[in-house]
Order: sequence, then C-alpha cells, then structure tokens
Amino acid sequence: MNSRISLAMIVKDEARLLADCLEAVKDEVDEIIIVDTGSTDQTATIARDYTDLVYSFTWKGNFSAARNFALQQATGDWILALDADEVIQGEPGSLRSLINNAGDKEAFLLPLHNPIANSTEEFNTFFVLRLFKHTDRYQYTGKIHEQVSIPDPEKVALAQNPILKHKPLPLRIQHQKRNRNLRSLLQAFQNDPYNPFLHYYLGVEWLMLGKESYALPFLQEAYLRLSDENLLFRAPALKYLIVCLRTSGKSDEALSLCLEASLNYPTFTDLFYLGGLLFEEKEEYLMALKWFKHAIQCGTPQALFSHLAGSDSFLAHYHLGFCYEKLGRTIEAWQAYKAALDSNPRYPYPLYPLFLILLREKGPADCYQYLDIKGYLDNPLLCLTAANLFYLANHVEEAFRCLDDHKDLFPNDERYCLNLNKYCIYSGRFDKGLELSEQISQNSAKFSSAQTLSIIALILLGDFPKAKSLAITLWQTPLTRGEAHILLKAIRLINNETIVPIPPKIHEQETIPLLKEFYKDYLHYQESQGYLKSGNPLANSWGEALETLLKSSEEGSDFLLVTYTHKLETLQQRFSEIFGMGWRADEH
Amino acid sequence: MANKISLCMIVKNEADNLSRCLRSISGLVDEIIVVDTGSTDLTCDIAQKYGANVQHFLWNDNFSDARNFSLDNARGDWILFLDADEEISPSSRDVLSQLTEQEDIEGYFVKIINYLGGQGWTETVPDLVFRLFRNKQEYRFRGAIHEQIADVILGRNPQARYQIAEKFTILHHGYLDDIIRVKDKKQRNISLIEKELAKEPANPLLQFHYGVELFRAERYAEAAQIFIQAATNIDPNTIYLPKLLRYLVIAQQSSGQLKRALHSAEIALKLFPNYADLYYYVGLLQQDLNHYSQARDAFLQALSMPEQPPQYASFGGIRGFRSYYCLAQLAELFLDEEEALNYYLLCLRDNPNFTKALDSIIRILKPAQEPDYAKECLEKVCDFCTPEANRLIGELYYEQGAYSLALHYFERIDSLPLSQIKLKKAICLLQTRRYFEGLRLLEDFTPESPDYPLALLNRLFCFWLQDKPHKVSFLWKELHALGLEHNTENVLALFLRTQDESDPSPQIDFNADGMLLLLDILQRLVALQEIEGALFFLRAIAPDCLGEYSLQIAQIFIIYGQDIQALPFLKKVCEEKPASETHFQLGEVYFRLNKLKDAERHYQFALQLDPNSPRPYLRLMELYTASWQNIHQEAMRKFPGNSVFTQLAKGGLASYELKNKSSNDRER
Repeated sequence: MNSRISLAMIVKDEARLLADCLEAVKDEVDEIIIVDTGSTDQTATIARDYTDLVYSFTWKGNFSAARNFALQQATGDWILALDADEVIQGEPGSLRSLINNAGDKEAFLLPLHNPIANSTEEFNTFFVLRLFKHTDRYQYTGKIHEQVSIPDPEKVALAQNPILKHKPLPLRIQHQKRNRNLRSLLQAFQNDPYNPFLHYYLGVEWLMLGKESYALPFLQEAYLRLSDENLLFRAPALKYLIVCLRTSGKSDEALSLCLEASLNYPTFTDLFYLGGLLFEEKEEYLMALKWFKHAIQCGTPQALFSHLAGSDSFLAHYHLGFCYEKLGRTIEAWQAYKAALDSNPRYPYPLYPLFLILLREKGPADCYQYLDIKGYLDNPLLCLTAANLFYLANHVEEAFRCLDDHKDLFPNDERYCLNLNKYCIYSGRFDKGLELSEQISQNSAKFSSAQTLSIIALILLGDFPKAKSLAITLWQTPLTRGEAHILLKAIRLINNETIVPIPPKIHEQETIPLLKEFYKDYLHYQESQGYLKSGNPLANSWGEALETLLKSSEEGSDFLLVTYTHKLETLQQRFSEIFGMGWRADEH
Repeated sequence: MANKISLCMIVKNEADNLSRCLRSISGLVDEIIVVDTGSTDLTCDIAQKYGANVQHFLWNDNFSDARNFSLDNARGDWILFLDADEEISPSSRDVLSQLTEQEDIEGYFVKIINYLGGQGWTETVPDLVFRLFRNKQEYRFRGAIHEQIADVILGRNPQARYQIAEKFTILHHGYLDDIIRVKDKKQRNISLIEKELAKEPANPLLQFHYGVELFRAERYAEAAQIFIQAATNIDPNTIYLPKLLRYLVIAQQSSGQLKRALHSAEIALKLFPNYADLYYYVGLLQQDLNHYSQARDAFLQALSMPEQPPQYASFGGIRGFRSYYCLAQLAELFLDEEEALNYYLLCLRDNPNFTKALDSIIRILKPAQEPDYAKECLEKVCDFCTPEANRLIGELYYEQGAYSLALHYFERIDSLPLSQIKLKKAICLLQTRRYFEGLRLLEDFTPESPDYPLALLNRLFCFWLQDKPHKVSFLWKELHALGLEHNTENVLALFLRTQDESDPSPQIDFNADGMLLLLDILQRLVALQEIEGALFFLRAIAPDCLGEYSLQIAQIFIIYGQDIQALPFLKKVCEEKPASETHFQLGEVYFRLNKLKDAERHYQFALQLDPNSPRPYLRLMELYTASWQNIHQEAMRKFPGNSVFTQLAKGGLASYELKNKSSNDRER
C-alpha cells in the first residue's frame, strides 16, 4: 500500500529560510501545501518554485485556524507539519518507512534539535508531534503553541528518524517573536487560566526573556498540573523550573526539586546533570561527582524526556573534571577532561583545564607530546586552541610546533597562516614569519594584521627602512592608523630619531589597547626559549620603546604597573612553593 | 674507709703515650695493672717507672681475653680501665674517690672527649664510656666491645645500678689514629661482631656496635638497617639510645635516603625533644632537599637548645659555630649579606679558630673594591693585637686581592721572620705604587732563597709598570739565565713586547702553568687600574687556550669593579657552557650596569637552568620591584592629579617595603 504524504506549512515573511527547508524535504513528500498568512517579501515566489499549492490566508491572530486551513487543502494520507526554520535530516525515505511500518499507529513524535551553539554541537532535543494521519480526528487547537489534539495516546509513537533541525533566529528577531507570542499567550491565558499548557508556554517565554520572577509561578503551576501522561511537556517544564529557580538564586529549592524528582524519574539524565551543576555551585563536589556520574550512566534518556545533548557525555565529563580538580584529584580530573574531549572533539573547552594540568604535571614538551599522541592536534579546532594556549602560557615554541607540525590540516587557511606567523615571530623565526605574511593576500581581512606582524619582525631584525616604509603603507588604510602610529613612533624611539616623518596626529587614547596588545606579545617573546637562550638587543629596544609609549599615558602607566606587579607576584608564588614560606621574600 | 682502685690497661708499643696517661692518674689509684701484648719499644720500662705491675699476655685476637687477664690480676675494690692514648682531666682527680665511695652503685659511665684535628681549629667529639666498675669475680669482659661488661654485670646482678659520672672526664688524644686503625681492621672487627651476633642476634648493644662498625666502613645503607633493628624494641631508657638514633639519621643521610633520614630525626625528636644534634641534622637534610626556610628553622632550634646531657654525646659546636655557619651560608644563598655577616661573626665569636668564617666575612666585605669600609667593619668586631693576628688578617686580605689593606696589617708586624710575608709585603707595596720601598724589599732576596725568581719577576714587573724597558730587559736576562720553564719564558717574553695595539704580535698557546702566571699578572694590573696593560696581555693569548679561563678572567675584572671589561668574557662562558651560576653572574653584571632587560633575561635563564637556587628569584624580584618603582615615580611626576598613582604610593608594593623594613630591623 502506498500512502501519500502531504507537507503542510504556514508561513509569513520566511524568504530567508524557506528554500533550505523545502530543498531538504521536497523528495520526501508527495505534495507541498504552503499557506501564506500575508508575507511582504519573496516567500510566495520561493514557495512557487517547489509547489503550485500556495494559498493565502488572512491572518486572524490564530495559528490553529491557519494550520487547520492547510490541512483542509491537503490530499495525502499523512500530514507532515514543518515550520520554515526547520530542516529535515535523515536517511532518504525515512519518513516513508516510518509510515509503511506504522501498524496501528496514527501519529509520530519526531525529535527536534534546538541548538545552543552550532559550532560545539550543543543542542536540546524535544519531541514534537509533526507526522500524523490525515483524518478529522487530528486537528489543531490552541492559538499560539497550537497542538494537534491527540484522541488516543496509544496510537502515538516516538520516532528517532528523521530529525528536525531547528535553525536559531538572530537574537533580535527571536525577541520580536517572543514579545508577539507573549501578547497572544497572555490574551489566551485570560480566557483559559487553568490550561497547564498555557502556563508552560508562558513560563518558557518569560524565562527566555530573562524575567525569572515572572516565569517562576507559571512553571511551578505547569509542573504541578501537568501529569505524566503529558510527560512530553512535564519533563521540559521540570527542567525549566529547575533552571528558573537556579537563576533566581533559589538553588536550595532547585536542589530539593531535583532530589524529589530524581525519585520519580531515576533515568532522567538531564535532571541529574542539573542537580550536579547545583551541587557544584554549592561547592559540594563529592555530591556533584555522584550526580554527574549518574547522568553519564543514564545515557540518552527515553525520548519523552527533553534532553540536552552532552549532558550524559561531554558536558557531564567536563564538569566531573572540574569537581575532581576542586577535590585535588588531578589524575581523575585529567581522565574526565580527556573523556569529554574524546566524546565531542568539537566542544573544545575541556582542553583548557586539561592543558593546564598537563603543563603543570609534565612540562611543556611532554604536554605537547601527550596532546599529539592522543590525536587532539589532528583536529584543526583543538590544534588551533592548543597552540593559542601554549602561546598564552609563554611556551611559544610549542605553540609554533602545534601549527607547524600539522600544516596539512589547514590548507589555504588564513587564520592559520596569521597565527603561525605570530608564533614564528615571537619565537624568533623572523624570516619564516615574513614569508607567511606574504601568503596572505592584499584583499584578505587578515592582511593588515599580517602586515603589522611583518613590521614587528622587521624591527626585531633591525631592518628599519623597510619597517618604516611598510608602516607608512599601513597608515594609508584608515582602519590601521593606530597600529601604524605606534610602529612609526617605536621605530623613531629605537633609532633615537627626533624629527623625521612625524606621523599625523591621531587620538592617543585609541592606540592604548593596541599598545597593550603589542606589549603582551612582546612579553611572550621575552619568555620564549629562543630569546632566553640567545637574547636580542633589538627586542630589548622594542620592549623599552613600548614601555616608553605606554608610560606617556595614565592608562598605559597603570597597565605597566599592573604587569610588573603580576610578574612579581607570579615569581613570589613560585618562590614560596619551592622554598617554603618564611624567608625574606615573603616575610610580611 | 677508702675503697681501693685498680687501674687496668692493655698496651702494645705505647711508649709515646703511656707517660701522659700514667702521669695524669699518679697517686690516685692503689695499683696499676699493665698487660703488655708484645711491645718492642720502651713501653714496659715506662710502666715500671710508674710502679705498674706489668704482665705479659700473648695476643690471641681476642680483646676480652686480654682484658680479663688484667682483671684477674687486679686486687682493688674498683676497676678503672684506660687506654694508653687517654688521660684523665685534672678536674677528675678530685671526684674519683667520691665515686668509689657510693655504696649502691655498681659502675659508672664516664665522659670521654675525643680530640679531632681540624683544619685550623680543634674539634672534639664527646661520648660516654663504661670504664669504672666494681671488681668482682663474676664481672668479666665478653665480646669485642668495652661496654659489653656493663651488660655482663647486669646479667649477673640484675639489681646493679649505674650512674653517669659527669665530672669524671677522660681525654682521648688518639681518636683519629684509632679510626684509621679501625678502618684498617674494619673487616676483622665486623666479622668479630658478626660472630657474636650469631649467638645473640637480638642484642641491641651488639647491633648498635655492629652498626657503628658498618658505618665506619662506609657501608651506610646496611648500617642504617642495623640501627633500625637495634632501635626497635629497645628500652627507651637505654643510655646509648640518643646516640643510636643520631647514628641512624646520619647513616640514612650518608646513604642518600634524605626523606627517611628526616623522618627518623622527627621520630627521634619526639623521644629527645631537646637533642640539639638532631635539629642540626634536620637542618642539613632540609638544606639538601632545598627546603631552606625549614632548614633555617632547624638550625635556629639547634642553637636554642639547653646544655646537652652527657649521654647525648653532642658534637662540639652544634649549639654554636656549626649552626651559625650553616645559617650564614643559607643567608648568603638568599643574598642576605647583612644576615650572613651577623652569623659569620657569631660563628667566629663561638670559635675564634674557625677561620672559614673569617674568610667568608672578608669575602663579603669586598675589600678589593671598598677597602675602607671593609677595614672599619672588621676592626669593629675583631681585635688584632697580636702579630700573628695581623699576619693572618693581612694574608686573608692579600688573598682577596686587597693589597693596600693587606699592607696595612703587614706593616704592623715589626719583624718579618718569614720570607714569604716579606714577598707579599713587597708585592703590596708595588700594588700601592710605593715602588721604591717595594724594590728595596725585593732586592733583599738572594739567589739562595726559593722565592728568588719571584722576587726578580716582581722587580721586572715594577720596572715594566714604570715603563723602563732597559731595566726590564736586564731583569729578563737574569731570569732567563735561571733556566725557566718554557711557558714561563713565553709569559716573560710578553714584557719585552711593546704595548702598541697595531703590533700584529702572534698569539701564543699557554699551558696551565703559563696561564696561572698570566692570570696573576692580569689581576695585579687590574688591581692597579692598568686596564690597557691588562688587555695587552689578554690579546697575547691564543683564543683556544683562553676558553676555559674566561670565567676566571671575568671574575678578576668583577672583583675590581670593571664590569664592562668582564662582560665579553662572561658572555663567552655563558655561550660555551650555559650554567645557572654563570648566567646569574652575567645577570648581576647587567643589573649593576642598569641594563635591566638583559639582566632579566640572564636571571630568567639561570632560574630555568636551576629552579632550586633561590638567588635568581630574589634578584628578579628586586629587579621587578625597581622597575615598578621607576614607572610609578615617573607616573607620579607626569600625572600628579591621578589618584590611583597617589594611592599606590601609600600602599604601593606593600610587601616589598615591609620586606626591606624587616631586614633593616634585623640589622639593628
């Protein structure tokens, strides 16, 4: 038997997103119904590229009405309902195979991934009812967060495939939408004050707008009044309620709620993850450990529980590591951070504490070797991150190695070129740095940064005429006048020149942040092995010139004082770690 | 009624020592039993002269048999046992009869002071020995150890009571010889005790002595093992337990088990919390572990301990110069010269013969650079009234290259009996450009004198300084005629060259002797501020053989404040052989020259090469503090209205200012 699938969508001003949505789904359905509720952009035109069945529907402030209108236009046996900001993902034909194997099921909940950050693969999973038999029994109700009414829960099944991927809107638009939603919801709430779903939605909207105190009563009501039959809503309501209590500073209440709920839902991963976070914040690290471990044990929870990806793996491991460190259990912390990185290499944050542990325990050379052997440096993101960490920890030699030994990972990557260039120069490899600068094209956004590095390299090499002429070129781009100004002044200071080309005035104040950056980079160079071993009189002059320039402003002087205080304190700390307290340097 | 006392001795070829021993005891004992085991010198005659009952005994490799043979012949109520190289102290004469009158005492542990030679000072090691006991048939020696008779007596008579006779003191002169002798026979002694241990494996006294023998044989790890066994299950009142524990600590330290030694010392201190020696060794151990502040605390503890009971056998100087000396060296390590000086002075006050302290004091005072200050400081604390003291201090100054100061003290000696002082005085005269007087002294040396060539050389040097080439070449010929070694000749030939820089004189390879002479000349020239002359000689040296002497050359320049001249040599050393110490030195030079970035770099590098030396840290802290203050002052000047900077001036680098204050307090 060949069932036909109708895609039913309602849209308004979705030109930006619609094509992506339709492109992904067009081969999965038999017909596409698009109900336009009054777009003023290209939406309808785009829609017509995919289907002839584009209807316009006069907006009456009621989503359900519009959706039900779309259902009326459909001719298929099954309805797939999508929003324009969703993209369907999965094996081709996965929709159809769901239907073919539906048995007596009449509706499916599909997983919806709601991303928190795309780059690190953190997302929340919700299940939404989007695929159902096209019969009169399945109709939309509710004005805003319209729901398909479910006549018989026994006939609803959960699907793991395909996935609906939600595309986050720009924050401004999200807020606009939320405000609009909120108005309609409040209106609906006046008419129907006991509807737990409305409580839920109102709570979520207020929470997302950062008004925890408004959100709290609604979420509390929703959690209380929704039963386990509506776990699809009750589970996220519980999560949001915990989050809301936590952000309103009521962590003890949040924790009691976690403890209480954990008895009812012993496999609800996210609950244990949130509980772990709460214990962690209370500095009850042993308890936190227990809860995070339990979250990991739970794994991905059964589908009805709303789930944040990673709360059973990389996020939990990351927090485990933090707690272990706080408890002084370094080796276990190390293992936990490693597990976090291994389970999601696109989530780079565990690399930071892991790096610090390795550096402390093994020293820079072995730290590098470890990261390399474990394969982290074969991952471009982790490799760049590790290089930057080495650089910031004053081990520019290892920073250089990270990038130079893994150049195959970064074909034609300008960010890579620029970073490597910087590490070259501040490890004393001036010529190689200059070469790398040349690989960055004049049209690139990174061109001026590369030029700046080249000029510094030339100064450190003592090639002042060339440095000066490059700096003058840099001056010609208005955006890089600050850099040019500092560099030209520094060159004059180093050469003891007094008159020759005086750069036109620019706001001194604007150059201070740049000066600080230059000086910080200089400090990294000062700690590099290359400089320590062979020294460089020009580098000394460069450092002195930067100090002179910094000293000419109050902010700069202050910055220098802070820098020297920091240097002194770092040294004092090392000193007392090695020689114990009570000797001259720390007899206060 | 007076108890009769029998002195018992075992001797062999002790003619040199025996008189001293018998003289010290004469009139105190009722009979003297001397058992000779085969002397071939006048031992027996001397013994008879003092009225001894001399018996002969055929040595059978068993100390106990010989000793018991002497007891068999004794008729007194008490036995006093002495060795020929021992004597009793004069003050002991009065107490002996009181001791033997005590009715309820079976025997006494008496104090023995072992004399050790020292380098320039006398060291003594006190100890306790069991040498005075009642004469009874059943009290006989057993085994190899003197003290074993104490065990025997207790075995026979469990009610026996012993005491420590504090005022009765034996002086032992042949301690070092004994140690050497024991070393020669160490294997024999060890196997002797091993045999006895086989019979009584759990006897702690045997174990203790076995440990000591192993320790003397430098088998420290095994000794430590045995000491641990001996200390386990021992009665805490055992008289030698403190010594045993100290031995354990030292044995563990000597076998490199620093942490264990520290642990043992901590346990021992729980039993004997007033045992100064243990604190002292804790100090040494902490120092070896780079825990310097703990080390300092331990030495201070050792110094604060009360008079040590005799059974502690506390080493001389532990509560005095030894601990002061360690504290001074720690202070130097932490660049605190004021504190170091203080401790060196306390050290010297406790033991005026401990010249190492004086050396250090003079070194710290930098007499070559600041002669007046050095002189003033030293005269405040030391009294140079004897010619010997003047000579000593003069020589110390001479060794530090402070010629004018050395001369000052040499001139206070009326007669110069030793030609060596004469030569040194002459050199000092030349170095203060009193050529005429110097030459007169030098001309006193005749060809018979071993210092004649040096006198000639100095005359030549004097004329060279005055730019009198004829006299130089005359003296050169005279020196040449003495038939000098090839390298010396080469050095001398340099005096004949002209000091013209354009002169393409060939560079010469010198051997160690030649270089030594050259460095001497170099130092003399730099001391005279004749920098051009010094550089002239340096240019003559082939670069290859200059290499290993760069550090010495740099140091010569540094002693006389010629930092800029020292720089290239020090740099070369750092490049060729990077070491923490030399980088630190280079940092010091740059710091003095106010080249802060270079100084910082070399201190940082020194720190990286040896993170366990505190000095680079301290200097860097000083450097950062100085930089901070410079920036702050400039900011205050430029931006007088800025409240942040004014605020900082009050609080500032609070730690730094307090730190200075506290070190000033200490100086007061």
